[in-house]
Amino acid sequence: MTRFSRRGSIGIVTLSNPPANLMTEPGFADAGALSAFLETPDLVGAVVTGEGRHFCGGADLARLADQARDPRRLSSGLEQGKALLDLLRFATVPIVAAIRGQCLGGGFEIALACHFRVASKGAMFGFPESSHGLVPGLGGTLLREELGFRGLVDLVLSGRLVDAEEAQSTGFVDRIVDAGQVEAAAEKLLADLTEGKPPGLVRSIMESIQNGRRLPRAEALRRETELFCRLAGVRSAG
Amino acid sequence: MAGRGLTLDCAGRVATLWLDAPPGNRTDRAFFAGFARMVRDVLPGLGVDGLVVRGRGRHFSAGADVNELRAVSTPAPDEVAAALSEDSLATLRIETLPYPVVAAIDGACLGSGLELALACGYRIATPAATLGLPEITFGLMPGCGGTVRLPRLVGTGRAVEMILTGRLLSADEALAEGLVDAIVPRPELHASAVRSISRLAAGRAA
Repeated sequence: MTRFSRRGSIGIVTLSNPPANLMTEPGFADAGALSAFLETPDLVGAVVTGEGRHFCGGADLARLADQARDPRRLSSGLEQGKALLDLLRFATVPIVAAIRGQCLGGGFEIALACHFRVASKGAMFGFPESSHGLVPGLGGTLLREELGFRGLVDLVLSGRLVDAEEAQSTGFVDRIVDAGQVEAAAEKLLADLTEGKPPGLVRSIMESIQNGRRLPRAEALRRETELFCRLAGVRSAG
Repeated sequence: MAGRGLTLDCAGRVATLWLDAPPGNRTDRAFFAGFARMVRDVLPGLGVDGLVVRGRGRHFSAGADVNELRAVSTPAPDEVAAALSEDSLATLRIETLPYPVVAAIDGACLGSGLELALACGYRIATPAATLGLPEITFGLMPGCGGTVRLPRLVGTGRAVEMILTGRLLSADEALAEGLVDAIVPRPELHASAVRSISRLAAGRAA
């Protein structure tokens, strides 16, 4: 249900199962394909978007009920989905979600794995899982950095939907534009960040920021010095 | 006690480490050599309630010497890499000092100057402070903890934006993003930093 394309040095990842781009499986893309796409050497950024009027309305509940009959299969599907989100989250190029319409449940988790979010005025965000007796299945309950602790508890427990304006004032939407402009605005945001910079420089900086998010501090600092030296044309001491 | 561009003032319960090469208090190689030694050998044994780090004159620190950065590949490369690792290790040691460390920031706080401030536990600024990591404008990245510490304070997206664009933040913007903890008028900067340490010390004694 996921397509990959290019516009210049920017990669476009399109969630495609119209109308609401519901996820037929928690693993919404092929991990090898997504990983190879994001690692393309001349890529400086990527946009994640939904085909048509919506970003992604989350899981297809009928299919989910089917999958739940085989708990082992469901659990391995959820692991695949979480691994895909980590590919986005820890990517070494900046990633922007371009959001129109529904951005719910698993779709909201995809959007929050991106580093920036551009939304249309009519976009709606939320975790409706609790209304179905469920919890977010792709790490949504861990998104404290993205939503703040109170925002996280509020959204996950209440299941209420948030519009783009509230999302921006809460801090998880960076820009609001007209529905027809979300992809262009996402590409503009990436251009503002990366224009005129060699892909290798963007990669080095992103890699170091990602090291800081997931490695012990001393190790992340050691690797930062290495990356710095490589950029400055100095042979590493190690 | 002093190194090149560095003075440690230990009068009273709260010590002050002056970045002491006005006007820019630049963090050149000689500065960092002295700084790394002081953090390793002197600061851990100070029997004080806390430490204020600040710049002499109008600026905290304008960062590395740009000409030195441009020439970074000229001297023996392994030596430079080893020295840079030592600088980075020094910022890690600042974090593990047995007392609170407050950066008192006025004027320019840029590049490795901001990276020093990020290693401190708290940052207090004047309204005239300007903060940022402009390394990208020289085709470089922060090399002394900036890419590791900034995201933890301001979030990943804002850190990516600041480091990829080199955009500088005013004191007000820095406060809104969580990069500084408080803004105080310039004449009150030092007293306010000392007071915040005394409050922490009192809390610890209680």
